[in-house]
Amino acid sequence: MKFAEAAHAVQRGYSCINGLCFRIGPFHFRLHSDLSEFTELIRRMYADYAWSVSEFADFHIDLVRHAHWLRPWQPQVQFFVGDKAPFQPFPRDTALPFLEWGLNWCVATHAHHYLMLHAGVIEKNNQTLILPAWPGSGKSTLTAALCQRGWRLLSDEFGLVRPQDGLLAPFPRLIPLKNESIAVFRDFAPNAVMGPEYPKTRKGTVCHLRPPTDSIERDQELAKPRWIVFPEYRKGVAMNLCPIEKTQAFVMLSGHSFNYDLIGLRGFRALANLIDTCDCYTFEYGGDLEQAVVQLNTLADDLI
Amino acid sequence: MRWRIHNGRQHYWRHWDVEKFVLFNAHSAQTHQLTPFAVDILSLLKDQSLDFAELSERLISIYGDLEFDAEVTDYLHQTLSLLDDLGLIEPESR
Repeated sequence: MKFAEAAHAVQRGYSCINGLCFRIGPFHFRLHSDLSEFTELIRRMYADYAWSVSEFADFHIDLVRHAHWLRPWQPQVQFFVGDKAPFQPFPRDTALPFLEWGLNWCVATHAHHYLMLHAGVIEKNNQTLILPAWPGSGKSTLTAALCQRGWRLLSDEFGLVRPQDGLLAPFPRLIPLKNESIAVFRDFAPNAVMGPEYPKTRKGTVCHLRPPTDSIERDQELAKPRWIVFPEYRKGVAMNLCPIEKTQAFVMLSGHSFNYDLIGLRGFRALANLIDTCDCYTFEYGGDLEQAVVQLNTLADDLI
Repeated sequence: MRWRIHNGRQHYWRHWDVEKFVLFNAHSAQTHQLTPFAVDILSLLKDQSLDFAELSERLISIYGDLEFDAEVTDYLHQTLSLLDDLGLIEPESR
């Protein structure tokens, strides 16, 4: 059921979030929060996810008020996973970015049954494009833009490769756009559902984009890898989609994995099989998001 | 000094491009990119230990016109040292 139904079912209204469970791809999160202002934001940004009242959860998240003894006038929030608090408390008015980073942390530190890539992952015509990149390379912006032009979002952050069959598991989360890319994206997709802007986070100003409804509803639909494209945004540079050798792609991709070094031979085989099945490119682009989308669409349209 | 593959070590290979090999060392969980020359050395040491002279002879038979001058000899020493450092081969006496 959608969030509003689940919240009413358990609470007859939703002044706070009390143990509701939501699913994103293969993971179930149970969320409890005593932040009354947070409920409306969750209702809006997580409206399309599958919520339930009593379901098994992989991660039990508490996002609760915290009073700092030195600065009691500055409201803070603490993020708990079970009884552990992996982060320092943070300002109460940045609860959504911290929830999102916390969910990333949960998956990145626990989901070692996948080969996890730091990558945007999108699918069209049952063929998947993987966009591995360092922070600041424009990965999230490019991923978000392609999802507004007919691609299905699997993730803007986690490429979850199943070692047993090489398929990619969707994990369609809110997409955090940052700094200049926020205005660029608003121009690109004026009707997209976006959350508040959070200035002065550790990554600058962050604003979350709600994924397309179709991507969320298809979060159990695995996808076949087809292309690996390493994007790099550099202001003013001419757009260039350039094929690269598979050995180079293997080395680069291993550097973009969260857990390649941890999972041993399973990781090597999964990564090598991924390289076997994909065409590999680097992609430089310098600013025109619409042109970048057209260029990457040529892959799916078999024009390259 | 005789060289051999590290006892009981399992290696897994992938080869996509000319002149480039990727090797996964299951013992160290390290991945290495190797030249064909290094791969040939590992192949020669796979079934038996060899000293420097024997290894040189076998490589000459593989490469045909390879002349073992000072430069090639030095390169072979360097490659053996590198493979030793990576934990892929070891002196038999160790």
